[in-house]
Amino acid sequence: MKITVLSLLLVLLVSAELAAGSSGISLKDAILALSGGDVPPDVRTIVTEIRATRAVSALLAGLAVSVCGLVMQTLFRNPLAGPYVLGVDSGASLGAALFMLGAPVLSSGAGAFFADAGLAGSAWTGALLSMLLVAFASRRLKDIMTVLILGMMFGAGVDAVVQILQFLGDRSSLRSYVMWTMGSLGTVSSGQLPFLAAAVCAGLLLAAVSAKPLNLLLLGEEYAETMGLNARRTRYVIYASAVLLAGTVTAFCGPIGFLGLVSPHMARAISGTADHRRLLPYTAAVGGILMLSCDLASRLCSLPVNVMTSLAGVPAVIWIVLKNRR
Amino acid sequence: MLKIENLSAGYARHAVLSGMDAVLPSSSLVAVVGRNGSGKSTLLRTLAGLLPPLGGCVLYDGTDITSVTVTERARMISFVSTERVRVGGLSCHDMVALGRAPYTDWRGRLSPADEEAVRKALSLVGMERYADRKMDRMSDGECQMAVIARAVAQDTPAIILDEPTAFLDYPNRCRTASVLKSLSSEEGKTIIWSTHDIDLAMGYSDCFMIVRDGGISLDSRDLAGALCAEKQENGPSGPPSPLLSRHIRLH
Repeated sequence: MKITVLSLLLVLLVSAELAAGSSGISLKDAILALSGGDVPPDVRTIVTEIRATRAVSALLAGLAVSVCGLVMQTLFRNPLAGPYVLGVDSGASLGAALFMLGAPVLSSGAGAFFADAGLAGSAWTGALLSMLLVAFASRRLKDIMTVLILGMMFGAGVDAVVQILQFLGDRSSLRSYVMWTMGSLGTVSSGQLPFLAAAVCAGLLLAAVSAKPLNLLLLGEEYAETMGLNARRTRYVIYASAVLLAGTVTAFCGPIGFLGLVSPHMARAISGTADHRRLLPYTAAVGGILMLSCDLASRLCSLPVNVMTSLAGVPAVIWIVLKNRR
Repeated sequence: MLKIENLSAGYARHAVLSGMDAVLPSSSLVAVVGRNGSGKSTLLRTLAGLLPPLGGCVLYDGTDITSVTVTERARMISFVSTERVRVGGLSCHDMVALGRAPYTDWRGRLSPADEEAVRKALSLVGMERYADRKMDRMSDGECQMAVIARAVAQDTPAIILDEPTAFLDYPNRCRTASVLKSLSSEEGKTIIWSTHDIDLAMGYSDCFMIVRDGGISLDSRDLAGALCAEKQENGPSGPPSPLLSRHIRLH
C-alpha cells in the first residue's frame, strides 16, 4: 500500500521532470515525443536528449546512492554509514580526478566509450580502495564514532590530494574536472546513460540477491556465521554492489552528499520494518523521490544538485543523530 | 552427543586452552564456569565453530565440525553470544525466523514448516504473545528470550550460549536457566552455557565444565571445584565468596 503511494509519487516527479524546462514544452508533448508520436524534431531532441536523460539519471542516482547507504549501514552495523560520510565517494572522486587530470591524453585520444569506461573504472577503483579501508577500520575498531571520524579524515586527505592534482593539472583538464565536481545530473549525456544504467542495475541486482544475508547481518557477522552465512563471500558481494552503485554515480554525476545516509532511515520509518526484502524497494523508492525533488528544486533555483542534497540532507542527518542518542 | 578430543583452543599461535577431552551426552545441560579471562568464551567459540581449533577436534555425533560447510554446521549447532542484540524495527517473530536461515531458500522465504518451527520456538521460551512486538520496544530480558528462541528455531541438536544471563535481573536469570533446562530434558538437546551464577547453575545444570589453568575438568555438580575456579585468583584472604558477594550486589 505504502509502496504504491511511493511509486505514484515517483511517477509524478518523473512527469514533472519531463514537463519542467525553459523551452515551454508541455507534458503532453513530452509524452508524445517519448512514445514516438507526431511532434516537431526539435521538441523530440529536447525531450529525449535533455529532459528524459536528466530524469532517468536523477532516478538512477537516487536509487543507487540510497541502496548503497542501506547495505553499508547493515554491513558495518553503523546507522550513520553512507557512501559520502565514510569517504567512499571521496575515493571515487580521487580515482576520477586522477583519470581526468592525469590522463587527458588517454581520455581525449580514445573514443567516448573508452573515456566513459576509463572514468567509471578509475572511480570504481578509488571507491573499492576506500571501501576496503573503511572495512578494515571497522573490523578493528568497534566504535562507530571512531570509524566515522576516520572516514572524514580520509575524505579530507583525499580532497587535499585532489587539490594538489588541480594545482598541477593543465588548464583544459582542470576545467573539465571543476565542471565535474559541481556535477549536476544535466551533465550526463544520453550516450553515457546506458553505461550508468547498466552499472547501477548490476549493483542493485547484487544488493537484491543479498537481501537474506543482509537480514542475518543485522545481528552481526558472528551470529550470521552461526546461522549458516558464508560471511566472506557475502562481504565481497556487498562490497561489489556498493562500489558499483556509489562509484558509478560519483563518476557520472559527481559526489552526492548525505542522500545515501538519509534515505534508508526514512525508508525504515515509513515501512516500519528491518527486513531487507521489503526495505530495499522502500529505500530505492525514497531515494528516487528525494533525488528527483532535489533536482527539481535545484533547477528552480539554478543551483547544482549537490548543493540541494546537502542543504536538505544536513537537517535530516541531525535528526538521525538525535534519534540514535535516545 | 558432543565429543571433544585433545582439543586446543586459542587465537592465532597463542593457545589459551589445551589438552581438553570431554564427552557431553544429549539431553544434558552443561554449565561452563571459570574466572574472567580463563578462556570460557574461547572454548565456547571454538565449540561453535567460530574459531578454528588449534589442535584436536570437536565431534558432533561423530562429525568433525571443521569438515562441514557453514550451512551444515548451522544445522548442527546454534549459538548465543554475550552481545546484547536489539535491532530497531525487527519484530520478535522476524528475529526468531532468522534462525530458519539454514533451511530456507536464497530469498529466505518461510515454508509452513518453518512458520511452525518459529511458533514452537516462541512458545517453548514463553514468548508467543510477543511475536509482533518490535525489538526496540522490548526489555533486555525479552530481547534475550527472543535471541534464545531464534537459536531454538534453528533446530540444532546442540545449543551453545555464552553468558546468556549476564545482563539480566534475577527473575529473568531463573527464567532463562529453566528454559535451558527444559530444552535439554524435553527436547533432548545438548546445551552448553557459561555463567558466573554458580547457585543458578547448581540448581539447573546436569554437570559443570570447569575452565582453569589452561584446561578443563568435567564434574557432575562439583560445587567445591566450581567455587574454587571462581575464587582461585583471590587467594585465601581475598574478597568474600562469589556467592555472598553476588547476593550483596543483588539486594
